[in-house]
Amino acid sequence: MMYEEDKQVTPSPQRTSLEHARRLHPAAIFFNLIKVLKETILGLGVGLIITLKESVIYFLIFVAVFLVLLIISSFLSWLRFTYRVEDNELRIEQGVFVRKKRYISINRIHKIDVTADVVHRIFGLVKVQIDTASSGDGAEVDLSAIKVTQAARLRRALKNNKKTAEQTEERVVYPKKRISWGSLFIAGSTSGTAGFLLVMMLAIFSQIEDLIPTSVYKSAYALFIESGIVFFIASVIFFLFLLWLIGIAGTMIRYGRFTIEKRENELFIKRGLIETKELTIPFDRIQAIGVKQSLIRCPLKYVKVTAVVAGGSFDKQEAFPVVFPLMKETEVADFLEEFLPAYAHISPEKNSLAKRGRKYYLAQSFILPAIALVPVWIFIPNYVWAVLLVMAICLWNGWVRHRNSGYHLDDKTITLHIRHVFEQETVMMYHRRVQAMEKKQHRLQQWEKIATMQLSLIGSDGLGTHYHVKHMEAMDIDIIGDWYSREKVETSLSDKLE
Amino acid sequence: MRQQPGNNIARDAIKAWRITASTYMVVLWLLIIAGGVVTFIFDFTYIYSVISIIIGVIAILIFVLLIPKIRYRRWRYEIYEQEIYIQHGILIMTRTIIPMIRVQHVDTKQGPILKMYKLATVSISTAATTHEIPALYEKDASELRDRISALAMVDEDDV
Repeated sequence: MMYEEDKQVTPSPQRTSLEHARRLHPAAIFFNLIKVLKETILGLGVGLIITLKESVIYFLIFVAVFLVLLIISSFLSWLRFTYRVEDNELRIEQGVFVRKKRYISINRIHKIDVTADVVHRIFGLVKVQIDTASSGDGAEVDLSAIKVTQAARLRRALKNNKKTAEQTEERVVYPKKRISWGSLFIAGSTSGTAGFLLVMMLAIFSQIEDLIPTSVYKSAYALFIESGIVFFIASVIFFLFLLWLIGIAGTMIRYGRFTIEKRENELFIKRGLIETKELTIPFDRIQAIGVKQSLIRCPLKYVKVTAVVAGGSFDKQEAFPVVFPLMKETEVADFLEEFLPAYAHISPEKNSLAKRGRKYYLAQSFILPAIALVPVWIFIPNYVWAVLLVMAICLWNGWVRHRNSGYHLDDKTITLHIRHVFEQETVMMYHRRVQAMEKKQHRLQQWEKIATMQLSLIGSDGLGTHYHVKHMEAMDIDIIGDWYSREKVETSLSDKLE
Repeated sequence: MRQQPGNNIARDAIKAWRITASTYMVVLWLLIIAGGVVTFIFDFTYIYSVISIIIGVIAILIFVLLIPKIRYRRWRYEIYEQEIYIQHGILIMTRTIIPMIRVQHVDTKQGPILKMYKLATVSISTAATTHEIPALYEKDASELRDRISALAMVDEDDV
């Protein structure tokens, strides 16, 4: 409504240009091609290899036909895809044979994310993803390639409507925080990707082991004998160092130039060295804020701040969007005060778990190595010490998990402290965000008056995010239950029953 | 999480569950009989047949006679103005609080066995979880469904 009036008063040229149906940049054809190729290559690959073995000519014909069809279909779908902003709606029309029209009211648009990878950058393009509140996988609208200027215009047109009062692009200074290269380097070197890469490489190696000719083994073995143990150790160290560097590079590329900005209704995050990603997190979609500390960062007192957001992020590898990749433990309070004041009083204090619960934690971490111990003892008794060592580490881990878990209850919020195997997590949520609460007790727990609690939040993927605190004092869960319950009936009910 | 919820589910649930469990037992016993026949034809030792028959009998005792009864006894629910309170579980007892304003939709469903006893299952979904109250009488189930959805509509603040 307001928008219409505005238009009559000041028919800005930018808006009229958006009202014409527009196509994406022709590079979208290419992106579509790549996307389809990526999706089909695995399925096709098998068929291709089989045909290649049968006959080379058929193989070439097959590939050529496939490519030609793909190019034609990509071209046609580009030709038939248009977008425009009209009557307060973003209107998308697409489809080669079956025409599909999608009209989205501007008011319903929650998120506009702009990303650009290397190819986009070369052409001065960006990818725009637009999402509404409806849950579901991925974005509602995916404009795979449009000019940077056009994207800015579109963004303004879609956003303007929400704050009709302040059309005059006031340069409000929003609080901003940028990660320094120094802390990025620390984040990379403590990211633990080195260990992950090592496992991956071993896995890959075990798969392709048969493909490596024995001569390679022989020469490698000869080299090893020749140069001796020192060389071997040096090369192992070098290899690990290399992995470590790869880990740092990965973090740098992913979180490089990470900037968070607090705007009126949302957090705006921009990051990435090669592929720039822009992410908006509307405040009213945040379900909880987590402070996470991995095992390696524990002695260094560094943490990462993440959010649980309804609808999640577009980054598939990151179920919980990272609000800030690395900061000192002591900086967290100030950071939250500035960017997420509602979560500023996230409490480092906690009510610990019942002492009686410790044995369950110990038993749980003990059981796997204990099972492993039996066959090792029988078949390779020389390695029993290794299993015992693992067992000791597991027991210690169980002990720490019990010690570092707990909760803190406030008037409107609850903070859970949960120690996972490799990570300490402190997560704070509001009463009204909790979808359901559960108390679980098996017979032994019942007898010892301890129980496991589960709080469920809306998750990134429609399945929900569930937080468990195991083996708490049962009375504590009852207290949390009374806090959670909107029906203050506990006294009247127990009166009735007694 | 005070006392346990007040209402039992329909008593006929025990019968319905017993029939369901019996169908599985029929399959198990067919296998046991088949094993016995094979043993008889090929003259294997009878010890395995004896063991499998013992297992079969124990399975009937546990899954058909015992578990439905305990399950029924443990299953309790209560619908308040503002929340739903559920308790269930045989080995692990679970108590759940679901606030009304978090309920997104309520369904009832009914399979052939439940239908025989005029029973239905009510399932309650929030944005993050789904909870089921099995085996209420049809009338109670639809009444409950309507009541929950009426109560759930009252207050709808932001997600």
